[in-house]
Amino acid sequence: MEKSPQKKGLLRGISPLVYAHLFTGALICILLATNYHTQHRYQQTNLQQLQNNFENWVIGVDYFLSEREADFRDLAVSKPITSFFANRALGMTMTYGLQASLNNVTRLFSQLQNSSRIGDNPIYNSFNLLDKDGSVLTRQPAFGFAQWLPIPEADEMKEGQVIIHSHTSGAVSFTAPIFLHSGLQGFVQGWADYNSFISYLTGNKISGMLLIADQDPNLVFQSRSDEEVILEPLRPLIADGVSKTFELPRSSLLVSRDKNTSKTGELTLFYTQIPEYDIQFFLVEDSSAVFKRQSLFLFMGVLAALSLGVFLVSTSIYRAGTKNLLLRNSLTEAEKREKAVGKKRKELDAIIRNFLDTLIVVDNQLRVIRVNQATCKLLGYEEKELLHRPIATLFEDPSDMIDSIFSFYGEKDADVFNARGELRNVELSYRSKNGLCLPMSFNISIIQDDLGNISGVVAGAKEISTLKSAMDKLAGQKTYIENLFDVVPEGLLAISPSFTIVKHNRIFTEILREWTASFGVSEKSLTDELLTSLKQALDLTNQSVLSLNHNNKRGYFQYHGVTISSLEGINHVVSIRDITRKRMAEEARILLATVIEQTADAVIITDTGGITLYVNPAAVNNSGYREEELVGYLPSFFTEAFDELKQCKKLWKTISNGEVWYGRFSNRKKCGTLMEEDVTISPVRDNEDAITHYVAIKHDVTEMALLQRQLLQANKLEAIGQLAAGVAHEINTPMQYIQNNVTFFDQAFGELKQLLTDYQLLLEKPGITADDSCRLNLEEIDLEFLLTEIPQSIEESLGGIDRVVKIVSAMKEFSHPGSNEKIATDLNRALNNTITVSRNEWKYVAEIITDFDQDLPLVPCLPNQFNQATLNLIINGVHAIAETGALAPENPGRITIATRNRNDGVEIRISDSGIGIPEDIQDRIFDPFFTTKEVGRGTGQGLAIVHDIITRKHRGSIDFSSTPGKGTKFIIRLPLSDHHQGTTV
Amino acid sequence: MNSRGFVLFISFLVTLLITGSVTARDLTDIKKDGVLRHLGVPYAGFVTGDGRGLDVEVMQLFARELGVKYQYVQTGWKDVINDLVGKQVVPDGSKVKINGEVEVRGDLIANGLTIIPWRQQVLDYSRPTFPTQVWLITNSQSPLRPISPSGTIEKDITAVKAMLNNRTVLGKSNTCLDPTLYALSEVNAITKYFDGSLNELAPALMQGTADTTLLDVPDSLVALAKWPGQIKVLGPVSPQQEMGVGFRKDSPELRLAFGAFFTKIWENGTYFKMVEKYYPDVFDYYPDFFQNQL
Repeated sequence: MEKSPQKKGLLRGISPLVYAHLFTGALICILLATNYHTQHRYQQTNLQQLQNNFENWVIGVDYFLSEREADFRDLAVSKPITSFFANRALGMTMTYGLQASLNNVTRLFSQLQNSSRIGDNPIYNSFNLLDKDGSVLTRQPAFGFAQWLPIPEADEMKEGQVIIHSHTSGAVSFTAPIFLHSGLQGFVQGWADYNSFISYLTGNKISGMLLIADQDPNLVFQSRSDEEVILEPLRPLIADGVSKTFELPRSSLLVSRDKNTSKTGELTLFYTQIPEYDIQFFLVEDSSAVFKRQSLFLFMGVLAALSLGVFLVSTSIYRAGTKNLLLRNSLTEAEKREKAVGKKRKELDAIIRNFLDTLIVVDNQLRVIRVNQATCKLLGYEEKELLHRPIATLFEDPSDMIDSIFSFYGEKDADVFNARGELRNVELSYRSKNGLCLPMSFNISIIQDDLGNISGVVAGAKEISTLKSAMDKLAGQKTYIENLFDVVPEGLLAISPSFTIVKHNRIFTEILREWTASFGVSEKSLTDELLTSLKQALDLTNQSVLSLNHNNKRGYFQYHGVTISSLEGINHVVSIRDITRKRMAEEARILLATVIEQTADAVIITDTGGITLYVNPAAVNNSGYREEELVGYLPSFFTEAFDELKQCKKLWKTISNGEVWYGRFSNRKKCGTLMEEDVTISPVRDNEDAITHYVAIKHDVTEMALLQRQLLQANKLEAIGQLAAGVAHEINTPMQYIQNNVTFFDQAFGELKQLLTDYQLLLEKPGITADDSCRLNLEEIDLEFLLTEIPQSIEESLGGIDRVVKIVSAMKEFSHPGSNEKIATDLNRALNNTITVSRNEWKYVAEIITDFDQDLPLVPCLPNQFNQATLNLIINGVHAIAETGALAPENPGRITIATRNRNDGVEIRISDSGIGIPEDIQDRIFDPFFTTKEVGRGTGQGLAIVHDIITRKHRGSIDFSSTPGKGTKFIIRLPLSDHHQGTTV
Repeated sequence: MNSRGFVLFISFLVTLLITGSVTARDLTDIKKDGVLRHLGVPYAGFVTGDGRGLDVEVMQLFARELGVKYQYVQTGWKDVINDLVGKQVVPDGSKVKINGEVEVRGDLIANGLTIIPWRQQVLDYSRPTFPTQVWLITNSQSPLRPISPSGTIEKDITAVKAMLNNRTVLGKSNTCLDPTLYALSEVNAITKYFDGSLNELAPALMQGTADTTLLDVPDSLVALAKWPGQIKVLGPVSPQQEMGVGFRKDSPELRLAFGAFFTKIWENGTYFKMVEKYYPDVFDYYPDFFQNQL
């Protein structure tokens, strides 16, 4: 159907108007949509930022509570608290001692209360020590708040556990169990008010109302009290426990306490929780303050008014029907649209400028097209210096990586990206104008032009240099600690709460391997044993020594444990040092010291100058001097009195040369008693072989010397007794014929008397001829016989008397007790005496041949002792000859005694033709009590006494040579000069 | 005694008096010389040996009160009374023997000196300054169990002594810890005398020197704080005793001056602050002593 011309004109007139209206309407819609979308995004970003800030703040609270948890974990194992329960376990009562332990706990609580502060306020308002049944043992302050909260799982609580419980009173309690020997003893409990630390932790960062609730949820804290809080409506909203933001009508949550000032509207709630402590946090904000919706409505109003204006203008243009007007209107419309867009841009600019974090806008060419002041300030550039600059030049990171990130959208259309069209938490590093590297965390979002094409990206960033630095430092510290862990020269163990090894260092591995091999057990077995021992030991004390024993081998390990509360998964760090060698050495040293302290021999240690540094108790006991009278002084064997004995120089010379000196001293005790000591003085050398000390070991031989003298005397008496019979026999023989001769003299004298009487009567009587009488008597008395025999008898008797005199004299000289001083002695005469007195011993088996040097000088000698020595050798020789079956006078053995004068002394050789000494015992013949003779014949002391007399008392020497079956020769050498060597005789 | 003997005796007596008066001083001499000589033995918290201690502080304050300098003269338990009285005093049960003369080195003794009868024969004590008691201590590993308080001290002492049959008990002669003072031999206790200082008794016990040791309460409190969980108090072997400051019998003015001074610091609270500093627990054990008015 054909349209009428009028309609055609109308259509021609209407069409531009409609188009204009449609265009205007579309423009308004676009502007509205764009504005709404921008505002919505801003609001969502703002909400997310607030939620993040809130969650960060709650993390701070979480950290604060974890610190308190650590406080109480430490407190539960603190020495005063465990000591109280340990003392109570020992049975101590409050009346006698236990009260003091409890007071120590109270003082600890007081110290903690004063020292644990946040800001200017104390964190805790009270501490309690509770018994296992919850009764209060002590509290601080004395009349402070104490409340026992039955803990359902109290019996199942483990060491190191801390229960944190929030109370509707606004307080939070910390309860830690106290264990002793794995048994629950009680609890330590502390109380703090949320008010005391929440306000400090909050500072000025939170503007809304803060609510804290327990898990039920029951309200335990609210930061403002002008409105009453009803938490019931929140229960279904937070049932999942996920942090979130949500809106509620104010009336459903808050009820004003003052009905005149009741408020309405929407509330925005930020919610998060600390699940391990069962604490829930709400931040309540007025939604109008959060979303600033009035700006959106205002903008819409402006747009609506603008639209209406456009509509009216369009209508007038329509009515004017002129193209120019339409065109002008179009231009006007365009200008207004441009103004609106400009306004919008200004608003965005304002947003960007006032954005606290850095913000930078980059176009498709990867050039900066907009920055905010925070960015300029951070980088140190003027805004104009940054604009149109390639984005990659602002970063430390490789330019291709930067380009790739800032064009992450590639060639794709914005719609194909995720709903947010952004990259989050990209860590890059800005390079500031002055070259500083600034680690940042970027959120990068695409921006689109009016047509929906991607025109670039906007990147907001937060400086994370502090965080990065802290993390780098943390990583560095971790590496350092790990290195330290390995270089520590002790075994280190990190032990979990269940007492398994979480980490150990190299030294521990080495210790384990060494002792696994030594004990002959598996590594796992040894590890388990060590951990079991450690666990028991750490319950008692943090540091001590463990002892492990396997297959008669014992290892000692010194441990030092530290309870760690801040490292997750680690409860103890324990250092272990293998001190077996040190302990063994120490035990050996203690044993040695004990031996020295307890030995009966005196031990004296001097410095190299001879000053006494140490004396053992035996030295004190033996000498009678007190320790302080000996230490610091020269010992008696270094004193001037000793010099008089002319031994000091030789002693010093010997020990200074590093040799050991032996000798015997006679000293006086403090009480004046004479004491004899055998002394060994040895030099002590240090690691460089230098002499640092001398040690003298003195064996008190007073009694032994006395016994020796008594033994010597006994031996001598034995010899004399043994000789007595022989001597008697020797004397008896001459005495018998002396007796016979004297009897003969008696008879002869009687007869001669009768003869002389007869001669006298004959001379007086006349008539009797002398011839007859004389003849008669002479025949009777055998005068011729008498005249022959009497002189012979007299001579014989004199000889017998001489022999008796000699024997008696020899015996007297032999058995003379002598003196203690050496005297010049004629050894030939002494030997003759010995031969004489021992004649009865040898004459039946041997003959003695003497070969004396007639020029033998007098020798300084103790004659009685020398006689004793030579007699013993002669008797030994006789016994040896008797063994051969020799019998005098037919087949006598032979003992030869010779003396010779040598240059530096004299030599006495006594040899026999006996059976000789078997080779296997030749090195033992001088040992005391060594004998091969049958029981009763030899004491084993003979040759020992000979050796002692010759070598020690005369400073001579005695050697022998013997051929079994042929005989033995003893050679004695005595010095001519009397040199004392460390003794007084 | 003939006339010659009498003259000799008088001469000896005069000599004693002259030599004794050379260094023995009363208050007038102390003020004239300008120095108060405090005889002390390092012991528990009374005289710590490093220039501190309850009795050191009291004596320093007393010297300041007198307007003289304070001088600490360290001595040992064996000589402390000799150094004050100028005589060699040897305790013999509850009596004493005087063996000779020694130099007088101080004006008073203040180091937790327990008031016991034999000391009172040669010393004058101040009014009691500190409560004490002798306890029986053993190490934590000992099978001996602390007594349960019966409510009467006599029964407690009997119960404690009953534990000592054939057990060694460590003590120190010339001190309040001498086992002979408590008739421990009557219960077949084997006494061992310790050569070290009183402060070393507890360590010696822990090292196994004896089954038990005697310790007075002040020293026990120090030991319990120093070695918690390592020793245990079995109970008392004596009734409550008291400590005081010791004076020569010829120093009555000094003793009176100290009495006035002590009353002053007792009443103005100064003394309690000092006690609390060194023995904070003693108030719990002997509240009556510190609640008394002088």
